[in-house]
Amino acid sequence: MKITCCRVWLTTLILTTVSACGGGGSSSQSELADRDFAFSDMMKTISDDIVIPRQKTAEQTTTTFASEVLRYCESIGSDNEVLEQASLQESWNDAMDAVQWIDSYAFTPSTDNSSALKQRIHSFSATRLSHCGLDQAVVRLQNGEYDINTRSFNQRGMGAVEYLLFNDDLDHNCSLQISETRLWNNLPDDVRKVQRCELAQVISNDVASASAELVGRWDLDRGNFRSVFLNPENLSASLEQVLDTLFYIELIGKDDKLGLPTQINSECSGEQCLNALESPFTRRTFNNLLINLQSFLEIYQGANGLSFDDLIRDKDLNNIADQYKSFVDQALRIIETSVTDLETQALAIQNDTSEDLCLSARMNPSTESSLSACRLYGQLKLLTDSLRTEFLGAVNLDLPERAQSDND
Amino acid sequence: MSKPRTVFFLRRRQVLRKLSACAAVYFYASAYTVAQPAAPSVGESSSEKKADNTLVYETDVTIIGSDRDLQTSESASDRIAIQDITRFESSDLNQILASTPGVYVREEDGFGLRPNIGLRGTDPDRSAKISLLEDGILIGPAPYAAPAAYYVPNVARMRAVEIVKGAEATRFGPHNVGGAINFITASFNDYDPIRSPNQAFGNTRGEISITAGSFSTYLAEIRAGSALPKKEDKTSIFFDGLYFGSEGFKDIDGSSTNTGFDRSDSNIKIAHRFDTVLPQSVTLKLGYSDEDSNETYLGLTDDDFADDEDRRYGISEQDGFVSDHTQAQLFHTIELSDRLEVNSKAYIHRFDRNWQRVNGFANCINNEIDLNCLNLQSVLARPDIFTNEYDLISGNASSDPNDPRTQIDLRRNDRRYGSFGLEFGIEAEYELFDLANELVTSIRYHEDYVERRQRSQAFLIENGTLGPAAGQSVAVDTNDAEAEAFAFTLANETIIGDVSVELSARIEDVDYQFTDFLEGDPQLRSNASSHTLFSPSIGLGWQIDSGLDELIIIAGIAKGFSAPSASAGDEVDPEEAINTEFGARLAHEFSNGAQLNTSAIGFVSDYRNLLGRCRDSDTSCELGEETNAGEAKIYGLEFSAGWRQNVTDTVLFRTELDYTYTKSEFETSFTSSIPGLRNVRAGDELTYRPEHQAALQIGIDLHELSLDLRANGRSGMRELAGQGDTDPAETIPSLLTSSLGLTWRVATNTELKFIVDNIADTRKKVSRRPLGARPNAPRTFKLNASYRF
Repeated sequence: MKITCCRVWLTTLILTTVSACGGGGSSSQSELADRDFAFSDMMKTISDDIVIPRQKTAEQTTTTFASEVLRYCESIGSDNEVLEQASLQESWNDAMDAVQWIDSYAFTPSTDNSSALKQRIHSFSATRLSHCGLDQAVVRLQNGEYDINTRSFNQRGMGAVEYLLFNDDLDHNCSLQISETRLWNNLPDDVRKVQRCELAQVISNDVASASAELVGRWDLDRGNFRSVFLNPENLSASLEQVLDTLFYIELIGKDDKLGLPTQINSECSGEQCLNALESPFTRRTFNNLLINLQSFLEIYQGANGLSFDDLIRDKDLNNIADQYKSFVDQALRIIETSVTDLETQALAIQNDTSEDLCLSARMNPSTESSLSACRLYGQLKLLTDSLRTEFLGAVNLDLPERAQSDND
Repeated sequence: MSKPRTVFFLRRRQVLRKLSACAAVYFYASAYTVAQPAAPSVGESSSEKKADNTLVYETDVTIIGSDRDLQTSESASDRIAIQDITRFESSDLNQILASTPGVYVREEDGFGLRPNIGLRGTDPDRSAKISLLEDGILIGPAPYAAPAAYYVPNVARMRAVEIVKGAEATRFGPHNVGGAINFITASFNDYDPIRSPNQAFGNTRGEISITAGSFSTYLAEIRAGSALPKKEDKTSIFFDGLYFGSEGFKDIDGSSTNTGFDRSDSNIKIAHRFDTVLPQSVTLKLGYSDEDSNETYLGLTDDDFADDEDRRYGISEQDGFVSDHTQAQLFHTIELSDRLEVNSKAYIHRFDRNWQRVNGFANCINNEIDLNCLNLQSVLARPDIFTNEYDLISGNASSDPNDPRTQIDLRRNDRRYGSFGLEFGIEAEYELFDLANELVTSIRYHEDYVERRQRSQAFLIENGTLGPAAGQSVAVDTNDAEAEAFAFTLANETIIGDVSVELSARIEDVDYQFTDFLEGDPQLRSNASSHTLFSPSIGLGWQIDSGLDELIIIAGIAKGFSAPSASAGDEVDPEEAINTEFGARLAHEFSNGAQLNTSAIGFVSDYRNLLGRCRDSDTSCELGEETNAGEAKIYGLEFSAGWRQNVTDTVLFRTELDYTYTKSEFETSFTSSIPGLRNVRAGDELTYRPEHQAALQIGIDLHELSLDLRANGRSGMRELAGQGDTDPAETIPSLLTSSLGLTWRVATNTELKFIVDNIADTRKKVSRRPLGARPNAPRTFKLNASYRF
C-alpha cells in the first residue's frame, strides 16, 4: 500500500526560518537564498486562483454526476437507457476530469486523517480497487447491510464508481469461498446492472459529499484552511504541500499510472500490472495523465500570478524556468498523438515480448513509437529528473522524503 | 500561586534586613567624622560649588562629572541640560533624545510613554540594551531579569540627562555595549538663592509650571524645597510633583473613549549634611508615580493608515495600561580627605503594571504553535489575503459565538517587578611616579525579579467592538524570573602631560532563576543559569590647547556586554562587542566672543554575538526567547557643532547641528523566529537603525524674548533585516519634523511659552510594531506659564 500520508520533508530550506521557533541560529548560506521572493503572493495565487476554484469545479461536477447516476439507474432496462448512458458518460468525463485536476493536491484537508477525504473522492494514489469487495458490497447493499462509512477506501471513490458503472463484465471477481457473491452470476444482466448502479449511486453521492467537504474545509466561512495555508507562520509547511503536489507527476503519474501498467516499474508483475491501470473500464488513463500534467503546469506557473517559474526567473535561470513547460508540452503532445490508449498498450506489453520496444521508446521519447506510453514515461522521466535536480536547486528546496529514492 | 508570592515576600524581608545592616555598619563607621558641605550640581565644578558653604547640597548624582569633565572626557558623552529639556516643554523622551548623536529612538505611541532607545546601534526595542539610571542608580524595572524598560523616568522632572558612550560606558552595566543614560532629577540645588533670588517664601524656593495644549494635553509641575531653619540649613527637603496627560490624538471606531493617558509622579528628597570632622552628607529620595493610559498594541493596516493614520480599530476600545512605581533611594557621601571620597547608594524599586490589550484571535490562546493560529501582524500586513480576519479586526464582521477563530483574545499582562541594590564607590586622586591619577571604583550588589501573571480571555466582536466574554479567563504565562548580580568596576585615569589615559574594567557575576509555573514537567519547570561578564576598556585623550582653541583628540576601545535575560536558555550567550571610537572635540572662541563647540567621533561596534530577543508583542516566538544572532558590525560617525554668539549684550544667537551616520551589517547568516531577524543573510542591515539622522536647532535670545526652531530628521529604517533596495511594506519611511518655541520672560521669575510641535503636521508611520502601523504625533500647540519662587 502506498504511503501518501507520510510525506514528511527533511528540510524545507528557505523556510526553516519560519518553522524554527526556538531560535538557535543555524547558519547555512544556502538556507537563505530566496527570502526576497514574494512567497505570500505565490501562495495566494495557488490558493485563490488554482486550488479553490479547481476544488469547486470538482464539487460541481461530482454533484452533477451523482444526479446523473440516479437518472441512469432509473433508466436501466427502459427505452431511455442508451440516452442516459451517453449522458452519464459525458458527466463522468467531466467529473473525472475535475477530479484529476485536484488529485495531485497534497494539502492538509485532503491529506490529513490518512488522506481520508482525498481517498473518498479518488483512491488510486493510495490503494488499488478491490473488485471483489465492491461485488460483495453490491450484494450487501441489497441486503440492507451496507454502510459506506465502514467500507475500506479500496471500495470507494471514482475508481469504484467506474468499476460499477462502466465495467461491461457483470460477473463478480470473487473467489468461490465468498458467500455473498455465490449467486451473483446467476442474476439477470439488468438486475446486476441495476444493483451495481445502486451502489454506484451511493458511492458517487459520497464522492460529491467529500468534494463538498473539501471545498468547505478551504472556505473562509467554514474550515478556512485557506488562512492556515496562507499564514506566514505556516509558510514552510504550506510550501512542502505545494512541492508534494508537484511531485505527484513523478510518484503517481510516472511511476504508478505509467510505470505499473507498462511493467517499467518492477513493483508489479503479470496481470497485477494490468490491474494497476487507473481507468481501465473507461480507458481514459492517458486522459487522466494529460490533466495531471496540465495541473502540474498550472501550479508550476501559478495561473496568472506568481509561482515557481517566477521564483526561478528571479534568479536569472530563465532556461530552467522555461524547460518545464517545454517538457510538459512534449508530454502532452505524446498523449494527444497516441494512436492507441494506454489500456491497449498495457495489454500488448502484457501479451507479447515488447519489452525491448518499450525500453527503446522510453530511452528516446522524442522518437515516434507504437508504445507511446513508454515514450511518455521517458518524457516524464526527463521532467522529473530535472525536477529533482535543477528545479530543487533553483528553488533551493529539498526532496520530499518519499521522492528520495527513484523507482528506476 | 501563593507559593511564589510567599517566596518573594521572604526574599524582600531578607533584602530589607541586608539594607538595614549595611546602612548601620556604614554610618556607624563614619559617625566620628566632621564635615563641610560639598556636592556639585550637574555641570558645575566642585570648586565652584564648594566656594559657597551656606547651601545644602544633595549627593552628587552625575555619572559624567562637571562640564569640564564632559569637555575633556576620553569618550563620546553628552549631557542634555535643563534648558534643552524645557525649551519645548516636552514630556516625550524620544523627542528630547532624538537630537543627540548616537541615540536612536523608535516611536510607538506618539507620547513617548514607552520609549524605544538604542545607543550606537544597539537594538532600541523597549530600551532593553542600554543601562538606564536615575541619579546614578539602575532604574529599569528589572534590568537583569527582564530588561525591557516598561518604566522609564519621566523626563519632565529631570534637570539633566546624561548619555555615556564609548570606553567610559564600561563602568555601567548590565548593558554597556551601547552605553548608559542617566536621568538626573531636579533638586533643591537648582533653586538656590543665586539662581532664585526671590525670597517671597523665605527659605522655601521652587517653581510652578503649567502647560496646556492641543488634544487636552496638560502638564502641571510644582517643585518646592526648603532648608529647615532650625537645622542651620544643614537639612533640606525638596518636593517635585509632576502631573501630565492628554486625551490623545487618535479616534476609536464607534467609541467615545479617548486614546490618551494620565501620569503622576511625586518625589521627595530629604538631604542632610553632617557636622562631623570629615564632610559627609546623606540624601533620601522617595518617589511614587503611576500611569493610566488607553494604550494599545493594535495599529493599522498600511491602507487604513493611508486613509486615516489616527484611526484605531474599535476592538481596541478596552485596551489600556496601568502601572505604579515606587522607589526609595538613599545616598551617602563622605570625604575622607580632599582627595578621597566614598559614596554609597542603596535602593529599592517596585513596579507593577497591567497591560490589557487585544492580543490576537481566541483560538491562539495557549495555542500559538497551532497551524490554525493566525497572528494579527500577518492579517494587518496582508488584509488582501486574510479578508475575513481583517473584516473582524476592522469591525466589518462579527464573531461566531461557536468559532474561537472569529473571537478576540483579550490579554491581561499583569507583571510585578522589583529591584534592590547596594553600591559602594570610592573616588580618589593620587600621584604615582609623579603622574596625577584619579581612581573610581565601585562594587554593587543587585537583585531584581519579575513575576508574570498573564491571562487571556476570549471575547466576541459585536458591532465593531468587543462584546461579551466568550470564555473563561485562562493563565497563559505564570512565571517568575529572578536575578542576583555582583558588579565590580575599576577605572583609573592617568594624566601624562597633555595626554590622559583611562583604563577601566567591569566584572559582573549574574545568577538567574526562572520558574515557569505552567510547565507540567517538574524537571523543566525551573531553570537556573549564571554568567560572568568582563568588560575592559582603554580611553585616550590628547589635549591640544593653543590659546583660543582647545582641541582634544580622543580614542578608545572597549569590550561591551549585555547580559541575557533570565528566561533565555543556556544556549544563549551574552551579547558582546568590541567598541572602538576615534575622534576629536574642538572648542574655539573667536575674537568677537563667539563660541564654537564641535566634535566628530567615529565608532565601530564589532559584535561577537548579537542577541535577538522575543518580546510579548512578537507573536511568532516564545516570550523571552533570545537568539544568538552571531557576528555583526555597526559603525558610524557622530558629529556635533554648536555656535553661540552674543550679538549685543541682550541678543544671543545660538545654533546647534547634530548628525549621526550609521551603517550596520550582520556578518553571519542565521535564521530565527524573532521578528525582523527571521532569515538573516550576511551583509544585511540591522533593523531600526536609520542611516542618517540629524537635528538642527536655531535660537535667538532677544531681550526678554527667545525664539527657538528645531528640526529633527532621519532616513528610513528597515523593519526586517535586509540589504539592497527596501520594500516599502517592510520599511519605516524617513521623517522630518520641526518645532517652534517662543519664550517671553515676563519678569525675572516668570515666563510664558508658546510651542508648536510638528509645525508642518507631517504624519508618517513610525513603526509597525507591536501590531500594525502607527503614526507620529500630529501638530500640537502648547502654552506654558512658569513661576519661580
